[in-house]
Amino acid sequence: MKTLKRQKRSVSLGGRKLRTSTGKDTKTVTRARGRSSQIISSVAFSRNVETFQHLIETSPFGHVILQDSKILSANLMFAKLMAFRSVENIRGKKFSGLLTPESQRTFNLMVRRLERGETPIQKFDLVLRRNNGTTIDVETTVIRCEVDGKQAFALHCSDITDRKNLQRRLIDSESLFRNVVNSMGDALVITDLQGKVLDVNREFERLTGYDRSDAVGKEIPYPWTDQISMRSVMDWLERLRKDGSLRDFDVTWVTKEGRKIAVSLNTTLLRSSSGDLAAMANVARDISERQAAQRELSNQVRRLEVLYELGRLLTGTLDSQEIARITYQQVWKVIPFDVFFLDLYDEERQELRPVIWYDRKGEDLVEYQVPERAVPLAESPACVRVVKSRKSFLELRGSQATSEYLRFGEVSALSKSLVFVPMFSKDRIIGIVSVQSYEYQSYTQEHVTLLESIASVAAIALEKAKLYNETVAKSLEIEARNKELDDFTYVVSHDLKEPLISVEGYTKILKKIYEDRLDGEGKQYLQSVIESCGHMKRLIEDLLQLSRVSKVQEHRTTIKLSELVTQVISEFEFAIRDRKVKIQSSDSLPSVLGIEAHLKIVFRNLISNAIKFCDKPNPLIDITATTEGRMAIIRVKDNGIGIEPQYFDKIFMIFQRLHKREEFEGTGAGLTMVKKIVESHGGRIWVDSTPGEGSTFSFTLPVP
Amino acid sequence: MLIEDNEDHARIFRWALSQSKTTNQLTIFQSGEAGFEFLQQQAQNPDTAPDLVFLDFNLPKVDGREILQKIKSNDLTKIFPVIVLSSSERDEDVSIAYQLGASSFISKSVLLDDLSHVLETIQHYWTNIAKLPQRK
Repeated sequence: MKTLKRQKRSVSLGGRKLRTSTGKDTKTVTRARGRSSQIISSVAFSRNVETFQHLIETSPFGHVILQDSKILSANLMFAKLMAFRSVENIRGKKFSGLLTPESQRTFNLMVRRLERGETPIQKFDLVLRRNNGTTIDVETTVIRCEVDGKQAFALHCSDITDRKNLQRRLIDSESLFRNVVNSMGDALVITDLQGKVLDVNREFERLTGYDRSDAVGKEIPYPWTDQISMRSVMDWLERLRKDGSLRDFDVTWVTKEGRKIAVSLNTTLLRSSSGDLAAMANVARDISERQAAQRELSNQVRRLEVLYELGRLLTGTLDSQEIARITYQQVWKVIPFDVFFLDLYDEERQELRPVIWYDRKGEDLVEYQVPERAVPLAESPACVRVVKSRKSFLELRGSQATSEYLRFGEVSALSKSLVFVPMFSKDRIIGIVSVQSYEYQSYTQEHVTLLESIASVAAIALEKAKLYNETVAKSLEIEARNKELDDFTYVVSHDLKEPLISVEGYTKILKKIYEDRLDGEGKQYLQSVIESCGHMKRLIEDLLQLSRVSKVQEHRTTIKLSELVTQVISEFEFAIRDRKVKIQSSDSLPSVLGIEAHLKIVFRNLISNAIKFCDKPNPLIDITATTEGRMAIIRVKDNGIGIEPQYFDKIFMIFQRLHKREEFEGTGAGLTMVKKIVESHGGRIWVDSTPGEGSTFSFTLPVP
Repeated sequence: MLIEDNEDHARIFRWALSQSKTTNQLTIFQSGEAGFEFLQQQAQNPDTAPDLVFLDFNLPKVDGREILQKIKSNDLTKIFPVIVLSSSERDEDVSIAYQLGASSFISKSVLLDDLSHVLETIQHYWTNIAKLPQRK
């Protein structure tokens, strides 16, 4: 309610001078009031005018009357609002000059509406430019009135700076909140307690492809919930109800385009200011990458494991078939395939030798019989490509195209993705391994690299097996040749013996029947034939024995040399007696590992040689031994004729004789046999000698 | 009887036998099969059945070992003492001969040393010392 009177100017603007209004004033006021509300009667008004005037003077609100757009009068509060010291300072100022441009428009609009007679006027906000350069927000109402018969406007202004500030702060904090929420790296879904979506943030829009408008209002099941993980969503709600919050709950979402993403949910229940549960905030983090990284890591670990396992398994075998099978099994763990094959490659012959070929037959992978024979490289275009380029290749066939490589045992007709990898040993290609899939686009360069790693491990094993098998084959060949030679020796000796027996037999018959009829010369010839037969027989016997030494595969036993030597010495009883031979043997001869019969031959030969090749009246033989490490060194020393150093090696060669048969009996096979026996025991034999003084034969034998 | 493929050996054997004091007849077969067949046929004939069988161990075609096995596994022929003659002195050959049922193993070399004397000894042993089964 406004108090209007003529003297208001002096009252209000003076601030402190109150003047009694005249009847005229009252009339005016009455008129004015009657126009506006007609609530207060002129009588009551005039009575209370002073009270009103006082009220206005002390009002906490600003009051101002405008006429001709200028301030006609105002109260103190208005002056204060405008940062003027007194009411006087403000009177007469153009009101529009106190308004910001926007407020001017607002105010002019209001004035025009009042002039058109529109009522009631609602409150509106203005921004006033204060005297000190600041602005102030005021809530304003305005009414039209008359002062001195002229149109005027009465304004009521209340300071709403606090409210405005609060509002601004609210707006600020809300936009701040929205900014924060939108700048979150995680998707946010705010729902009510039933799960109905109230709001989402920008990351949610980006992640799922659903706009905020799409999302808001949606209920469970959400379009972005993976059908398969619906159960876990229910689980999520259940746990949420129980625990009040959830951390790191993994679910799968489906984007608007249908792509699946793994997210980890953290859900918090929000309470209103009154403390009631109001909403749920679901923060969803995209963990697809993390999961992909984890998958990649576990893939790598798996691959390493496979390589390690492959290496471990392959050390246990020297069979290429087995190596190929182990490789196949390990590859299967990391690379899915429908076809697997491994061929060995012979670079010199340009041939492939298929080792293993697996192809799918329905559900199962079946191992096919590979051809026994080698296949010319030229017949395998894919392998030719590998060998020529010395590189792996990956072929992904289009749906229509058929491969240029189509040979059974190399490429399956059904294969649509193929990887061929060469197996290298040093710089040579020793094999080719291939995996093939019936599916399109099954393999990537990564599979090629992986297969290359596996192939390199398998190649080492294959090469090792090859070397081993070659060595074995070689030693078997040598063994076979030796055996052949021994068999040959045996057969030849035997066959030689047959006619010899005839010659000897007939000679003896001749001698018996015709000896009496022969003269001295004839008798001597006959005797020579018989002696030659005897020598021939010994030669043959020695040869036979020699071949037998290498033929017999007996187990070695521990032999007490002192006992064995004593036994052999006793065989020379007659020589000892007749030729006055003295044989000394150390009491401490060691035990050795060997074949008794063979070792007897050794000592028998050495002793008999020592006796045979002795020109002294008292042949002396000394047998001693020492042990060095795992070997015993046995020495047979004599005081015989000795051997020239240039013959040290020759004496061990078969049928090598250094003397005429007339001088010394013997076939020349004895030392050869001794050497063969010693060497077959893992020992060696040598001779030291001073011609004319004697020889020492030394040989080694293993000790147990 | 003697089963010997080497004609010279057979001849020498025959001569040696003739030099001994024995009066026994000698029938010679050059192949194992023929010898075995004869043995089988004459086994039950006390007049023609041999007292002793001398068998060369190294025969062509059917080996002496095989013939020995045949003789010793046949009910009719296994009662005949078989004396193996061999130019080989290999331990294995000796073992095999006895394992297969030979009554003796004599090296041809030994035989040659004193032809008729050795045969006489054998003859003496088998006819005067050892007792052979009676033929019906």
